[in-house]
This record gives sequence, structure tokens and C-alpha cells, in this order.
Amino acid sequence: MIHPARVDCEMRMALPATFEAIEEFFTEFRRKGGALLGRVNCFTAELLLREALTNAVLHGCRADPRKQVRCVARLKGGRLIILIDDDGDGFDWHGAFGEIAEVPACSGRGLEIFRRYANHVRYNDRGNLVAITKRCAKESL
Amino acid sequence: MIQVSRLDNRAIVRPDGMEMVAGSIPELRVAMRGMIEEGVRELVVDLTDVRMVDSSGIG
Repeated sequence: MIHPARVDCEMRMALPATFEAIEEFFTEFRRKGGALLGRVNCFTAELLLREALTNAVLHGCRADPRKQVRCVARLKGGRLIILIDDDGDGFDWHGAFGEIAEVPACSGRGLEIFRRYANHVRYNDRGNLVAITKRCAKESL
Repeated sequence: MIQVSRLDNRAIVRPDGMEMVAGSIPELRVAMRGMIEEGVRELVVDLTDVRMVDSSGIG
């Protein structure tokens, strides 16, 4: 039985706001989290992390390598908790969260992925910090 | 690596071992736009060996 307060695994990382740094993060994430999370959960975790990190790097920091993105991925009591914040100005998540991308649109599907894959998504007021919770499927427990 | 099979105005693009994510999608986009400019009118993207597609990869 997993104690609800137990932290099974945690990764903390501060990275420059570049796509190269995101890929380096995932090399480490797969090494540490792959066996622990299982195949399905690892895919879901990576997808949610990718969307949040890409938003932080691309939209939050405009891919400026002088800016920083901070990431915590924590597995606790069968739940994955993702916290990501960046040095950017944030965005109007109140407005963006209600929008649905049209089929021919070339962007705007990241929040839809959050809606479909995450159990809870919360932003701070400024919109430069996101907290995502995902209950892990049974295969990893 | 992007593999391309061409026949007349048709092309099959196979992003072997790639992940269609924000960091890699510009390379694929440039390649596909180049094909369209060269006259390709039917473009198939074969995702068989693609492990991850994020929102940038969807479009």
C-alpha cells in the first residue's frame, strides 16, 4: 500500500529557456521516471511536461536563453504533480482556457491537451506558473 | 531523420526516430513546405516510427 504522504520520486531542474534544454531534461526524465511510471503513465507525464515546458520556453520566455524555466515533477501517492514557472510576464489564462482551436488553426492545442490528459490544472494570477496534477493509471502502482 | 519517397506530385514523409515536438517541428515544416513549392500536391506523413507528438506537432 502506498502511503498518501510518501514522495516516491522527485525531479527538480532549472533550465535555460531553450528547446535544447527541454530535450536534455527529457533524457534525464526518461532515465529516472521511465521504470517507475510505466509505459502509459510515462507517455502522459512526458506529454503534459512537454506542453507546460514548451509554453514556458516559447510563450513565456520567447526562447530567450538568458531567461530561466524551473520545473518540479513529483510522484506522490499515485499522483504525478508538475510545477513549472518561468521568468516571463505570464499570460491571460482566464481567456485562453475557454478557447478551442479550430481545425485549420496552427496553434492553440496545448491547453486542450491539458484538459484531456490532466486531472487538475491551476495557474497563478500572473500566468507564469502552472501546477498540473495527474492520477497515474494502475500499471505503475 | 526525415525520409521522403516521391512519385510525381505525391510524397510520403517518414520522420524516422524523430519526435514531432516543438523543438523538432521547424525542420519538418521547412522540408514539407519545400516539397509543396516543388509541386507536391499529395503529402502523406507516416507516423509509424514517431514516439511522441505534442501540440506543435499536431499543428
